[in-house]
Amino acid sequence: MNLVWMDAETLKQPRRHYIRPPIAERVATVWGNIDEEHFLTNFESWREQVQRAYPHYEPHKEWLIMVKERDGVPLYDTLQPELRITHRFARKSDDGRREFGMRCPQDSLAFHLFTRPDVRHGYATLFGEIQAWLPQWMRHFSVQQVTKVNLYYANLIDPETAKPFVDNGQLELQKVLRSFLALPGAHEALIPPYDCTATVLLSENPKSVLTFRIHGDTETRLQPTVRVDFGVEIFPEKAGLDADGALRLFDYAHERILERFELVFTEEAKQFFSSE
Amino acid sequence: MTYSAADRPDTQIDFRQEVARGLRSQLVARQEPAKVERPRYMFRQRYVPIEGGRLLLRLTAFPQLEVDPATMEFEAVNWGVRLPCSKAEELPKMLARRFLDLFSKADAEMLSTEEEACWLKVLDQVDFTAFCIDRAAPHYLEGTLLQLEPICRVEWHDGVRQKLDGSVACTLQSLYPGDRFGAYVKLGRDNVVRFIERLVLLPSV
Repeated sequence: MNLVWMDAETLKQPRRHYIRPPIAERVATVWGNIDEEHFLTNFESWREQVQRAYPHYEPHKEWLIMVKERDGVPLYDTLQPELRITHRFARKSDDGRREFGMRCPQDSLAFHLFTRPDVRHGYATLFGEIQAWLPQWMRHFSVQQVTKVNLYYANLIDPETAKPFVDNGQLELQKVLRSFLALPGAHEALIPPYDCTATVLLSENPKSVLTFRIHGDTETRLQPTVRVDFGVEIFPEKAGLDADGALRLFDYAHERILERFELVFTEEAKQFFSSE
Repeated sequence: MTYSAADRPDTQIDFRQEVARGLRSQLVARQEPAKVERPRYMFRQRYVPIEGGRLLLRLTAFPQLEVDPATMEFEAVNWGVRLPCSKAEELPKMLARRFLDLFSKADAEMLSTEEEACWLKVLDQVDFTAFCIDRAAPHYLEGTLLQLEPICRVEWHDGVRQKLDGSVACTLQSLYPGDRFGAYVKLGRDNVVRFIERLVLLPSV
């Protein structure tokens, strides 16, 4: 099975250029096999290289407890809780906001590109960063093959990014989105919690999977905010990939996300995102 | 279909707080409350980098961290290292410092009674033999190259013959079989040669 759920007419149309897409964050991640000893032996010299471009070291700390549910009852997992520390670096703007982030767990390398309406980064910026760092990372940690890639885009629909679609403090979602709104029955509005996730297999070889998630942002209390996330994960064949192969997969994943963006948002919304 | 955040019902009610407000009667404890156990977390890291990763301290078990909810500090069990939870990223550095501190004092026979007890516990949690081998300086050795291809073999001054691995053998590429040489040799566990440096040619006997 190849591409499914595609609206042929939409795909035939030339790709639109968006001047102010509602994107908040783009994340590109690659995985490789690095054992702990090799990683820790080489991490400090890697950090020294990285901090020339990403000067702010802000490790991410997670105190994790495992809870599982059985018959609706939450139970502590028998596994011991653990502390996880992920090395994280940031490049910030003059006003102190994080623009670019790099995360270096033991088995992967991730780039986070943060976007706001007044700063127009794009995929090309993210791609440039992966292109520059991926071969260095593979060389430094002796990563022979990339075993997985993931590209994730988080779009934020709120009064700032979708101004014309806010009426009386409510987001007129039917004017923004074409999917995941039709719910059976009569009701006045969608309210939190609102969360729809779907995963589709894009292709079998290489195995690539696309996940949509449209959900109300429960962290935001002052304004209605809906997140529209797209993620494409690709597992290369057994032999894995070199750096060039991985970069080509990012291009593929980006194209798949753009296709879905075209299909999920309404024409009215896309016109707004592409206007000055 | 609209989406509203302003008028939505508050789904995050703190039920405990509501109950506390509702109950005005005095609560009398019949017995002393059980001592709340301090939660333990595991730090899933087997190696502690020392000297920027050039030297690794190998742990025999993942460090256990005991969190004190009253102070929001945690202690690495049996290490005598205490840190605020907000500074958890400094744990590997503090473990390395603690080990070096105790190791240096033990070497100089300056451990206090308390430190000595802690040092014994720390030794139970690290591969001390590997640490000593890893940090040992290279020794000056003399030997003769027996053959380079297909397998590199040398005979050391004490008559011991040894095969050398590829990366180590590269150091001897400029020698011919039969050449006598001197070099600083770093040995690993079971006297395996890890690297050879500062090579000199010696006159044949």
